[in-house]
Amino acid sequence: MSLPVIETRGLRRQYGSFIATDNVDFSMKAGERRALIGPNGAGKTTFLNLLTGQILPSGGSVLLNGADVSRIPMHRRVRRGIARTFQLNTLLRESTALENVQLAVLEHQGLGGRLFGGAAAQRHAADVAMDILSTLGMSVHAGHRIRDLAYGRQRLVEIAIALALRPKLLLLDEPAAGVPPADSHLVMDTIAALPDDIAVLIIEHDMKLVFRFAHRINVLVQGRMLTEGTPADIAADPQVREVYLGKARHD
Amino acid sequence: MMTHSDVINSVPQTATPGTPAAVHQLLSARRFRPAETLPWVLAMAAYFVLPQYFQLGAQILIMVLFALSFDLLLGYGGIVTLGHAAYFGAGAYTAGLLAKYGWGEPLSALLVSGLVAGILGTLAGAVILRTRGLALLMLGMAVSLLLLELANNLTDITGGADGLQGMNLSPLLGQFDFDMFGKTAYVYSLAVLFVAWLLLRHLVNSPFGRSLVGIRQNPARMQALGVSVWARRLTAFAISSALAGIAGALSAQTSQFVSLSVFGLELSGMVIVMLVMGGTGRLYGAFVGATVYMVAQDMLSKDQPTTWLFWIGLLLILLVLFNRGGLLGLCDAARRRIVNKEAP
Repeated sequence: MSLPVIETRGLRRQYGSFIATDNVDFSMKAGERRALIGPNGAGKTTFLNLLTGQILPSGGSVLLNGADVSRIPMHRRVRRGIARTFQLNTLLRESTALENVQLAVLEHQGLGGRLFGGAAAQRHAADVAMDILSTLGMSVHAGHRIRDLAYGRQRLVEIAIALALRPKLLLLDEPAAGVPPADSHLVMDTIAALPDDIAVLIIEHDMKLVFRFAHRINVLVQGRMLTEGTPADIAADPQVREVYLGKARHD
Repeated sequence: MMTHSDVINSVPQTATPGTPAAVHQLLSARRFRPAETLPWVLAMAAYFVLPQYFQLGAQILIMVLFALSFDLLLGYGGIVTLGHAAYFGAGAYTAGLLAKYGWGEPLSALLVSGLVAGILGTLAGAVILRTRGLALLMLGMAVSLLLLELANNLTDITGGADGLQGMNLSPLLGQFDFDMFGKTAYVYSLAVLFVAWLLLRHLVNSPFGRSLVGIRQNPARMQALGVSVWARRLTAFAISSALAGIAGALSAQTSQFVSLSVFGLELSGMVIVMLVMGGTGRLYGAFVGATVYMVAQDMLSKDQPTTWLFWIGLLLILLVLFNRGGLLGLCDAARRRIVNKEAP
């Protein structure tokens, strides 16, 4: 069971002469809690998109449970166990929270393309979706349309959708960004209580959340992996403090 | 003070006790509502009350079917293409050629025509759905223009610019001749439309149809759920093309004539106008839009053969400017207003 859930070897992504991801080696084990931090423009979201397959690498490889998925399109990686939330809201705004999650359940069960006889499947998927929303304390809001929900709760729906895909690896792209301070505990509590068997990689600017959540932290600077370590290592690393934490933590 | 019965009455009424209201609400979209019988009641009433209009009636029903097929693409799939006439035309020419060259049985010919249009739609869709936006619009148009030129040049087979004539149809079900008043045509078209509507109604409420709506709202989101957006859109394209082909075949069989205009841009544009006028993404927009368009054409074009489209254009502009949901959207807005007034 030492096989990493996700691994990258010499991963590169280049836009013209600009190197967004530079020779990155990275790996995560099952159930791990990891954070990826770095200054704005360090290439965090690009790295995440390389993992999901939203963009394809210029070089190097991505391995999911030991299998090379570097050239496999995003939707097939999802079926192999990668789920993500988006930094910008991509929920179906005209649909209810329940419907958003139910669609994910149907897809996970491989029933999303069914043309006929979906009544029982839809009922069952709706029940599963309701359960997931309930565990996130969202049952009261299940019937509300996304556009009528507070932003913090919309972020919870994002997480509920990702959980509905029963991922082995969950990628959270700034889950607390834009959430009003009064609601941020909703998101933080949810993330802290994610199931143990899912490996979670979080990109986040809120250092309080990062240090509370992550067992290990990676620091990305200008497309390169600067260092990796425990929260204590990272907080004490002079290099990290210089490039990243320097401004925020002059104690 | 709330009484005990008030409290009980305020509990949401659900079909199965214990089902959360949100789940119930989500699943209830599939259930038939009384208002859905309205088009069928009206169509049957027209059979008895307006027998002098069988011909026009059949044409309306055929255009409703064509617009309905397009609603699956535009209204549900969010696929904007200006070439849906290609599949209507393919069905029309298939049915016409079958009847001309000895396959006179109408029902089987109808299915074959739908199949041919569906296969054509699958092949064309596989290519054009790789693109989006303007490129998709143009490629869709190109397919219909290619077919137009093909039919124009194969004069020996299709009759070219003179149109396809000399179709020889057997009686429907071996009993009902296609009469000059259009009675058989009307009932036949109505029956085919009804079956197609049942199918589409089921389809748009199936997991497939709902994922299609998800793709329309946000393709990236559905991709992140593991959906191959292209494959799902292609399925919609194939089904829509097949139904458009059946509409075209109905048109050929009931009028016993096919002209090159079935591949024309005018027809592709017309079906968009009808659907937008009636309201997209709700199935019934096709019924309302096609009927209003065809009746207006019939009534206005007698007195104003050149300017009647002006009125359709004006109506369309007003609807798009002030109400994106078309005529049915207007009805919804009116109903909401009434309901809100009644509520305290």
